[in-house]
Amino acid sequence: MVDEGVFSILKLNAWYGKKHVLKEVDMTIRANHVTALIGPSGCGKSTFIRCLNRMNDLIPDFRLTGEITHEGMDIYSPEADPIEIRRRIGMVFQKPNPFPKSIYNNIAYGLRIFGVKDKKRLDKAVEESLKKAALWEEVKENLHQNALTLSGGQQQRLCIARAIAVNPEVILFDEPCSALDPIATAKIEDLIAKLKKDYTVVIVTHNMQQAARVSDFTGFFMLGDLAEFDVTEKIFTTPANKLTEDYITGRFG
Amino acid sequence: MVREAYHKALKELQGEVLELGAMVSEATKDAVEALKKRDIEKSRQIIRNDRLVNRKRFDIEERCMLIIATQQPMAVDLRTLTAILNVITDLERIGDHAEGIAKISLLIGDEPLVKPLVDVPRMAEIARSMLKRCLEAFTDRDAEKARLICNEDDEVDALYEQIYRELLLLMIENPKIIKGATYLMWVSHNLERIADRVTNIAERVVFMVEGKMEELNVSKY
Repeated sequence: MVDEGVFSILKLNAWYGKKHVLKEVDMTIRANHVTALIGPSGCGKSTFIRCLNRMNDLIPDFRLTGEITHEGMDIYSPEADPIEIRRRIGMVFQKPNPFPKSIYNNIAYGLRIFGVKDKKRLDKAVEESLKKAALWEEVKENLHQNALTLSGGQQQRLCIARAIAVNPEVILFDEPCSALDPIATAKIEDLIAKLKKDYTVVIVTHNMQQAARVSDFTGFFMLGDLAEFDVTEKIFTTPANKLTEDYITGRFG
Repeated sequence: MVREAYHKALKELQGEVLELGAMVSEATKDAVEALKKRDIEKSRQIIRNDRLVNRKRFDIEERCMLIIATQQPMAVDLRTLTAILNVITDLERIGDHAEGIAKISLLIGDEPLVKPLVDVPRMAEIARSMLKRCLEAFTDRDAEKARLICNEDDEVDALYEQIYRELLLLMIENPKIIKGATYLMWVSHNLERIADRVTNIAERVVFMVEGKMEELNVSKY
């Protein structure tokens, strides 16, 4: 398979009111790879990942210039449908946020919105999504139990299953493990490694070891600039930029 | 600066490497002096001291592992630690070569040397000077300085060949001295290996600074 950029980001600038939070960011995100975004708080990495599926649209005062194309389509063009974009580019958040519904209905929710009513099809999608999220074995007997009774780690995998259920192409993770214990974190990390076979993964993380463990490419953001973007191996052994080196070795941050 | 304790531990570790370097440099000097002066007790002392060298090497290795396990070093810090792990192996081997010379002194015992020692102390001097500057390059993170050191290894190799030819001629002239001449050949071989170990260390300094594995002293054979 030829490595192709699934996302192409060109001269991306973003502002919250007058605050310039992303500056001339260029990046190509490869299909079926894990791209990690690191940097100190306030560097713009979360704003950046939220630009990729138009999550910032609802924030008042948010403004953006530049171009983000996904599979050749400009996702900010007037013809682009944000709902469809968010189906194709799913997101998993920092804190697990299952709906206060059953495990089954959490997964089926998105599909029902897209008009799927057939019970057999829903059953199949629920099972497949839970299997892909490595949660099936733990919950298959209790699919109608309230999702909020699950542990934090299970809830996060449920959210991943929910994202998978609508058949996305990309999954964005915004600090998916920061509310989880080390075992639950390890399970999510294993899962991310498996998911890249079927999906393109982008992950924002404060945990540099996590970025080093799970990703193929790493981008280091600093004060709104993409200071360095390269293969992960290079970033964590011989970064080209002194800023990157100082950050990852704990000399500032 | 954040992570102060971590950076302090890294710095202390580099100081320990310099101490190990000073120990083996001293051992090299003493071994050749003891041979020249036929000082059996001093040679014994060098052999005993090698245990301290080995212990210090293991101590540094353990501290490296502790930092790796507890601090997850990255980038230049990670390269420094892997460089240190290699450098201490070479330093410890330099110590072994010095010990080797001391053991040869004991083997020669009371026998007179088959020739006066001129080039052997010269070899030791160059090798020690190379080691000194190599450790300076390590401390100063100076890759250029490390690269330059390797040119001198050729000088040591040339002296080694010269001693070899000289001893060979002596043996041909007088087969009775074959044993004594062979001992001196072993001594010069130990010194030649010490200089080679120094070039290994220089390669690690270049890696630590620039992240490139570079063979600095390519064999002419």
